[in-house]
Amino acid sequence: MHTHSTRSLIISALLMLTACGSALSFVPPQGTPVASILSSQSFNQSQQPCSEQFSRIDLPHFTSGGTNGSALYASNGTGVAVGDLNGDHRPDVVYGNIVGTVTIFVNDGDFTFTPVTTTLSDVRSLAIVDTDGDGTRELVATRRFAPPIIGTLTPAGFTFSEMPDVYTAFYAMGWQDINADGTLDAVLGTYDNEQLQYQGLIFQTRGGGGVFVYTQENGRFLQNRLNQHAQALALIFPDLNDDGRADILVGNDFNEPDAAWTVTPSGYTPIAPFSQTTENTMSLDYADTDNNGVLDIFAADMKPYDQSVTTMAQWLPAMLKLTRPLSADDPQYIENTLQMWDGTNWQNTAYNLQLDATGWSWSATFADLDNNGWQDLYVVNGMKANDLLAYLPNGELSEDDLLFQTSDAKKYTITQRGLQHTGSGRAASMVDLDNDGDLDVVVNPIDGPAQLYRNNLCGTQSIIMTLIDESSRNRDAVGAVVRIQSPMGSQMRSVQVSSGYLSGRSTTIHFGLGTDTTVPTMHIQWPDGTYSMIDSLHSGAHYTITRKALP
Amino acid sequence: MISTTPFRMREIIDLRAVATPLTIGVLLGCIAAIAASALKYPLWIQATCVLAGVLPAYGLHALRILKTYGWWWALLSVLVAAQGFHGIEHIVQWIQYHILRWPFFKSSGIISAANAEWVHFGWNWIVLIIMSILVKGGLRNRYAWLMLAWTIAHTAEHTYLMVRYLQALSELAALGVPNVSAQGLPGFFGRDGWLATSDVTRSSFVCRLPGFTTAVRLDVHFWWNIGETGLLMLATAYELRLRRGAIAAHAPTHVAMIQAAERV
Repeated sequence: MHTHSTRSLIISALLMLTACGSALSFVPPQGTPVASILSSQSFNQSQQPCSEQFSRIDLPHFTSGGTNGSALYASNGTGVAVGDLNGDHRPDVVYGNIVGTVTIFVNDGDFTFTPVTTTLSDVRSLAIVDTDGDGTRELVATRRFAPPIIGTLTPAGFTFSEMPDVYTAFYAMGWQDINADGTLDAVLGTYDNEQLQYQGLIFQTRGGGGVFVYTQENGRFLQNRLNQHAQALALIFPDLNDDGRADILVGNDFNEPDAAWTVTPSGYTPIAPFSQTTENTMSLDYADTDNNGVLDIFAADMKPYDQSVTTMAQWLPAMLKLTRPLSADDPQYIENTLQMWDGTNWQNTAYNLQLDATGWSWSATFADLDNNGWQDLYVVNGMKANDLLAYLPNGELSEDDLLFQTSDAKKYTITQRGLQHTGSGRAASMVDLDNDGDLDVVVNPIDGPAQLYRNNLCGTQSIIMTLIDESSRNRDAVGAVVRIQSPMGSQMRSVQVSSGYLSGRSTTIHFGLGTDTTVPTMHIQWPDGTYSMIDSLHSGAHYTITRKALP
Repeated sequence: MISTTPFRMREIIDLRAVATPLTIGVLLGCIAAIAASALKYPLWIQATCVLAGVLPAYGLHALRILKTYGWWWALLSVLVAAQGFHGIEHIVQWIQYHILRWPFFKSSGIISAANAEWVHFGWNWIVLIIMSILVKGGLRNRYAWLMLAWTIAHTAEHTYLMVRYLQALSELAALGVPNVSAQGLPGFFGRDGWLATSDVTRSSFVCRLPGFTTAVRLDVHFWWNIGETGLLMLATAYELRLRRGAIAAHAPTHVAMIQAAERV
């Protein structure tokens, strides 16, 4: 049962300024006030009895990589996306598929869902995005051997059409207002090895692959090709050079170095920001892990978290096939990285924090799952491929998914909270599905049933927030950064539509508050660089903050 | 009759007395190495050919020391020379990795490329056995004791590595993939080693001790050998000084040592 106590009030003491702020050093300058509307809705009062565990629910959707079991590269699996597709303010869940079809689970509330089958199959990345800024979100999917597709909800159901002006089969996908014109743009990356396997050398004569930016102008997507080769499994938009503007970071598989570009009004400049990187980048995510007001970047790789002889023997034959020796001065290492900005450079801290080895990792995502004000890390892992791993039973390298919890970001502890499933997880996302103020977990494994993990962890406070920017066509304010001060430090969240591995994420923002019940001040940096400030927020509520169009 | 002339360090590598067999051996070894190269045998086989050419001459040299100074000095000479050679192997690995920037798994030195696990395991046990004999035979200065402790620890790590290597081969065979190399797995120390990853040390400061849990295996064993060679040199030099002092003073310990050597 939901308690609706929607109240609308104009918060007028908000600040606006021209786009000159720095995302990495937050001091909101003085500026012209801008009006916003704040509304709130209390969390569900009839919460589940709490425990120290998540409870798993298998949904009637089976992601299959092949009729006789998965083989490379179908075994890479497919995406999952969360977000409100039908405008009922409840996040829905979309599970991708390879051989079978994509299923949309419409959220009916109270953790009940109605499955809606689509005709869409062979998809990779999924995201729920309001691509055209009309106030209705679309389902966007990259496909293995066809251009990306956009699904729009109509009274008759979903209708799918290929993304206009895009003719390449892409793998990784991200959406951001790259050129700061107030509309969302798409950045897409190919997975060349799969295309070469499928098309042969003709793939190159047809134009090959790479990373492409599609800027949106008047409903058309204008192509800007950034490079010629990619093995892109992940793609995010962190600010890499501390200029306050989102840049592009692409995680590549197969020893292909990760690629990064700074974005300026004059164009895209390739950079190599990190002295150490992953070698087979499976997943990228960024979050302020240590509550210092600066975003950190996590990249997942394939490294056994257990160095036992049995585990090493299971890994060695596959790794010898997949990797090639790199010279000692190559910045790539087969282990996870957590890049932290020290004011001048990015420093990899994953090994020191014991976050370097999480198995054959796929989606690795930060989220404050226990509402203690510190972001935990959840990694789904495992590999199943009946050709590559033919020497293992069922062609499967089975591993426990890992949850790293922390209460200070200096020490992460692997904890058993019911999330340590041994299925071969691929995509994962976190969102409050039951409106109880904590984040639930959604996982799409390969050759297994779709999974939901209901968060039943006890106690502590939180707030959830949705930003709506009516002053631009980037209505979900993708790229906005929100900060609050709390006893745990300066917490920061950014609005993203995708992260991890092939995973679409909700544009709602979640802050765990520990035992605090109020947030004295919250700062919002909108995607165009303007700031808003809101006082006195209370825990236990889902706030919707609407930035009105300027007169 | 054992000489009472002081043994000098340089005699360990002073091969002038065996110049002819050495020249012949090196020539034959080089010819064999060139032939091996022409037949596209790997570098470690070519290096072994040259080494095999040197060994008879050095054997004669050791025999000369045995006759002149006794078994104890002959054994020490063999150990110092061979440890020096082994040190060169590690220096080559270090150069391959840090200077030439070769990939880690290719930076296996010269002879170790045959099988890094067996070569270093075998070598370290030989060092430990020889060192134990030398200590039993009178090499008991403070550096010698340190060297013995160091060698025991180093050999223990190689034994741990060998056990894991054999277990991994056994596991691989059980999986039906016997032709995969399992060399190079982490040991006790170093990056991803037991100290860094064990449940016992996890989340404690011990598991991230700089160097001990962060250095790559190649560096860990480079420093193992630097320590071993350094302590052996110190122990030998100290012993030579003691011996010179003993001869000067006609110390009974020295006489007893010579008598012990003569008995052997």
